[in-house]
Amino acid sequence: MKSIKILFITIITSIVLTGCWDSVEINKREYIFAVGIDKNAKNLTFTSEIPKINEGSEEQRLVYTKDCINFADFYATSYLHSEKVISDRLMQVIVLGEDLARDSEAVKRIFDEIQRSPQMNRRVKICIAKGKAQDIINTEIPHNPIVGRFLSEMLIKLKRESYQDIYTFDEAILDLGKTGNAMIPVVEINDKSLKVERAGVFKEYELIGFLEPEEVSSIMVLLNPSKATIRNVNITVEDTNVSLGAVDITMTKKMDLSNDKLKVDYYVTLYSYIDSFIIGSNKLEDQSYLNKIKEEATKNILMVSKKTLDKLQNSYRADLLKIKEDLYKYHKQDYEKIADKYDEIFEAADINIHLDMVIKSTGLVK
Amino acid sequence: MFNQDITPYQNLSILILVSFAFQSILMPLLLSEIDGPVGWMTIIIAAVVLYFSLKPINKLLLKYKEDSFLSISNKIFPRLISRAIGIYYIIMFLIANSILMKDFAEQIKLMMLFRTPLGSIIIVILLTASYATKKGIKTIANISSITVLIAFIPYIFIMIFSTYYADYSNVFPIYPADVEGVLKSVPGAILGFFGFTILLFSNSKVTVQENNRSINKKFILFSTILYVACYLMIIVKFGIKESVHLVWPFISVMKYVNIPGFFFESTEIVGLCFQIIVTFSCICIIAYFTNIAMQETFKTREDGFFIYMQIPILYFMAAVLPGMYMMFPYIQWPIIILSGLNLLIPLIAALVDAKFKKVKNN
Amino acid sequence: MGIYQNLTNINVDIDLKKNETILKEVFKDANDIIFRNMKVGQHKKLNILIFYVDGMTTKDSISEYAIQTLMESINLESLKKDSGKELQNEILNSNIAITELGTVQTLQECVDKALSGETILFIETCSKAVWLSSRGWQIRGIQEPAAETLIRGARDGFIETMKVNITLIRRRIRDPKLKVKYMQVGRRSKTDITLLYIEDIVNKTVLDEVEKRINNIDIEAVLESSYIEELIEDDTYSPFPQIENTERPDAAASALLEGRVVIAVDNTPTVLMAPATFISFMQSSEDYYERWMLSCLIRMIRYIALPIVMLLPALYVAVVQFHPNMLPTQLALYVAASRANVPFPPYFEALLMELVMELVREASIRITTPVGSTIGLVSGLVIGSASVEAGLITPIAVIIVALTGLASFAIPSYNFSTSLRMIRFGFIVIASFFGLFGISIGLCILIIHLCTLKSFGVPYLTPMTHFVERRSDLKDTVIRPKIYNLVRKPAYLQVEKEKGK
Repeated sequence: MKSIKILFITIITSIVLTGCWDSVEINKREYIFAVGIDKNAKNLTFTSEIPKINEGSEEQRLVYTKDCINFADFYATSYLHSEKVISDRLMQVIVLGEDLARDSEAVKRIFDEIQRSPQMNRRVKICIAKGKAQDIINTEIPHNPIVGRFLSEMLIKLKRESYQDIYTFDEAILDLGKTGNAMIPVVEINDKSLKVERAGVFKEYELIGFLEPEEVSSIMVLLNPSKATIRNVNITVEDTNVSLGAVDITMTKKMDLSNDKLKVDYYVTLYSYIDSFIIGSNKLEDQSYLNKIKEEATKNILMVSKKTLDKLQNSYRADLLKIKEDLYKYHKQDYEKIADKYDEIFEAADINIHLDMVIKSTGLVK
Repeated sequence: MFNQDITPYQNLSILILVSFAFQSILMPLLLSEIDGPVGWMTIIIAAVVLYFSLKPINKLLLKYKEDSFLSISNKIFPRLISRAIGIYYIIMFLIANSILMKDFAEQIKLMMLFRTPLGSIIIVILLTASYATKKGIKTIANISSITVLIAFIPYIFIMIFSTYYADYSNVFPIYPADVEGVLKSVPGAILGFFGFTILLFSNSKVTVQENNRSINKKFILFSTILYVACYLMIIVKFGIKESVHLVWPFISVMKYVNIPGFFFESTEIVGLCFQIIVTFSCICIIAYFTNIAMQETFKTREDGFFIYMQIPILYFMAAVLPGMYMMFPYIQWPIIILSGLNLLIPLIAALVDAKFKKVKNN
Repeated sequence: MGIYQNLTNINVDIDLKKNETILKEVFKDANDIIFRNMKVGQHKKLNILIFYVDGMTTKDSISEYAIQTLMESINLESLKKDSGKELQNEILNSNIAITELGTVQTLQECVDKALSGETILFIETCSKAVWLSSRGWQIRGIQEPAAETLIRGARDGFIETMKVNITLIRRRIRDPKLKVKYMQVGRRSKTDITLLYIEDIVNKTVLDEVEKRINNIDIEAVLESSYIEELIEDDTYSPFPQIENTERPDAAASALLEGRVVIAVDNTPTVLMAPATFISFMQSSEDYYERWMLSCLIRMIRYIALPIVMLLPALYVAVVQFHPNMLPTQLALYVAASRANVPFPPYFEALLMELVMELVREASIRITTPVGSTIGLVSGLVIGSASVEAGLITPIAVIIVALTGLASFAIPSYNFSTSLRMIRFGFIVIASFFGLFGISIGLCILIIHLCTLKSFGVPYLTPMTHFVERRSDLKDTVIRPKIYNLVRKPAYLQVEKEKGK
């Protein structure tokens, strides 16, 4: 009995003493915060941003640019170029260059690698660079020198306020898997800083075009009405500029798929208030004037929505409204018949938006 | 309290724990074999099958109160058959345990200790588990009770917080269900209820055996609820299309848990820590009942020392066996055979026993 | 030693001289033993010998109530015949105004009685000696126990005299069912031990076990109750205490009322309470004196302190060395920056600081009380900040060590928190090898150990190990229920009653 115990202890100690395979101290690591991936003639160009570890003083960063085949290759090369161990575990943002995003093969490879990696966080944020990702990473933002953090916080905010549909890699891959389409935020250089306004349309892991901010917002209304924020609607009624803001949006959806004909009706009710009018005018007390405002505003909003739908159906043939998913979930039998030719069905689909506008308030003054 | 037996509810926690471990291992099977998010139907069918087969088995076990299933089979079957049954259970337990260990060690390696050799992770788990096994049923019952208490509470939190940004409409479409797929994966789901096999051995260790039937029923009920809840959680989180690809759906869910204001960034590591305790207790439980099976098959008086035989066997099996996810394409038939045998052997024994009794009475 | 052992066979002799010679031989070179030969009775014809230990007896009461009355008795001399049986009875029954007295047969008994403070009276022609209760020595006043101070609650504490301690308990439970059983342990020390229990609520199995184990003790001397504790506990290899101790009479009384056995040892101000469970070490008597909601909060804080004491430094090592990605990004960068110039690996840093912490703690006990705590605090602060400035350790490590130290004081039982502190070092080591996996494995081993551990047959982790059957006990664990709901006794001690139903 005693000898067995001693044997056990010896085995355990010897195993343990040869151990510490994974021990790398926190200060011996380098953390990539953001990585931008571009396509070059042969391979990919990885631009990584690493915050400098220094005590107290202002934040600084290092930016490495390397030509590599994939992430693994990039880490392997970086390993040889630095005294520290490179770590992707705190990665915040992946920025895909426009050229790369348009190459579906490359995107597929990169997405697969991120999805497969046990280390990389699937919740890493993702966005597309208008132009080169390298330039985005290299941008010196005066008030927040670390681009990774800037973009990460920005994307979280946009998602929370429902300005964008997607902010993480996780969502992108889920959307692409479910419907084959995704709407990924686009980051652009804005003077000395960065801005995220537009969205890139992804179809089958390929960037096929961009959506303007108002188009993104009208899609977001249809996708997530309860959270969506409509930006002000500015119209001119009887030579006076009126600005309307939305308080609340409700929506019901009707779907009908028969004889390969898809008909979708969105019934949207928009509760709004008057943002700005003109001092000295008491026209707002007049109900017919308010009706005119409503009419004008409805026309205005519907115009944008129609344009957006038209773009989605005809130019991109990309179902960003996730109608496909709803069909699969609620009309599985009908959907299975047309699953193969869904794109044509979507293109020919009759999608209508019925907007009802209610002016809830005129603000603090009459 | 002062004797060496376990209480009915400790038995319940043993059964639930073991089932939970195998259910999470077999979850990908359930997700990938059925077209559409209707795997919960499979689980319920499996539960109903098990529920009805409990009655004769419980009757049999209650009749021979002090005996576990193997010593009952010694009494009612010819020697050769009872030996074969004993050896079947030993091998089945060993395989199950080594698969559990391998799968689990690989999760740890990938998530926590990337460069640490798999062998040393396995041996550390194995030695710790054998320490508990050596201590006997009472300790193991206590451990499983504690594990249920301290590990399931965080699990509930994980379940709650994993619904952040989840899409509940993912549970559709229910109709039309993939009937063929549902039926085809029933054996896998039955095998997931591994506690069903364990209860053949553990019921005889319970202090108040009269309640065994209701406790076993409760086990089927709770286990089903847990299984269905986990299944739905994965479906709600990922949607059926994505979940098909996942190797360890449960760990993947933990990767996405979004607890507002939580201190730790990678929740999966924290989740894995609790998973370690759960899986570890399961390994102890199975190792202990392997000991019992060995003791009764080889008819020895002691069971404790069999653990020394098990350690090298388990280590080599765990080292040699490929991970569960590598085996998925090939395990269709083994699963049908295993779950069939697990279900049929006790049922046949009950049947034979009932017949015997009639003959004797006549 | 030779003569001493033989004393058990030597009866009291009717010849006083003979007794005196033997006893003087036994107590050779012991100058505090007083022998006094005198003649008593009306005509001063009866020889007696008085024998006692100086300093342990109240001389006044003996001389006043015993010797004086003997000297004045009338009929003593007349009864001096027939091996003095009548004489002895006469003395016992009517001549001495002392409540507690008796006869002893052998010289060994005489010696034992004398050494525990009684006065022995040898009477001419009597074959038995008479002992007179005369115990009395300087005792410490009843004070508030230093280690278990409370904001609210009784201020009295046990002292070194067992009888006083028993009185303190008796005063709280005026129940004839409260039984007080005397025992003696120690070949040389002959220490008095008392077993207290309430007859109808004590668990008989536990009581028998305690009694059996105490009777089995074979030891030279018992100087403190810890001797008894170590000799009767279930597993001496366990780092966890399996018997609770207290200096507070109210805590002892509440243990008795729960159905536990209290063991009081003479010359020790701490009494032992058995069986003890994990939960009982986390309870403080103050929990029941404060308002229940507040007590719930305090208890929860204690249960938060528990993992902090055991795991926090280990978690620091695991996170910094193995899993930095667990930290929020900002914090990770900060920790990395602060570690940049530290020469030691994290596990060494943690071990070093924990060691310093223990050093300060140990030293502050030794330093004289008024300055002790101050010096402890100052040295801790100075060493902490100085070593951060010197770049030996990181500020985070200081915070962690300070937190651990603080948390360890939140555990009400001192010996329990000491065990936790000890285990902490193990966790640091294992975390430095395997990170969080190591910590989990360590926790598994700890759970196995605790699940195996028993205190007098009661599983240590009750009621958690039987959380369905014993769910009523779970009420008084992490939270403290209202007193009204607490009327039930803990079920884990109620086996006898359950069987009786």
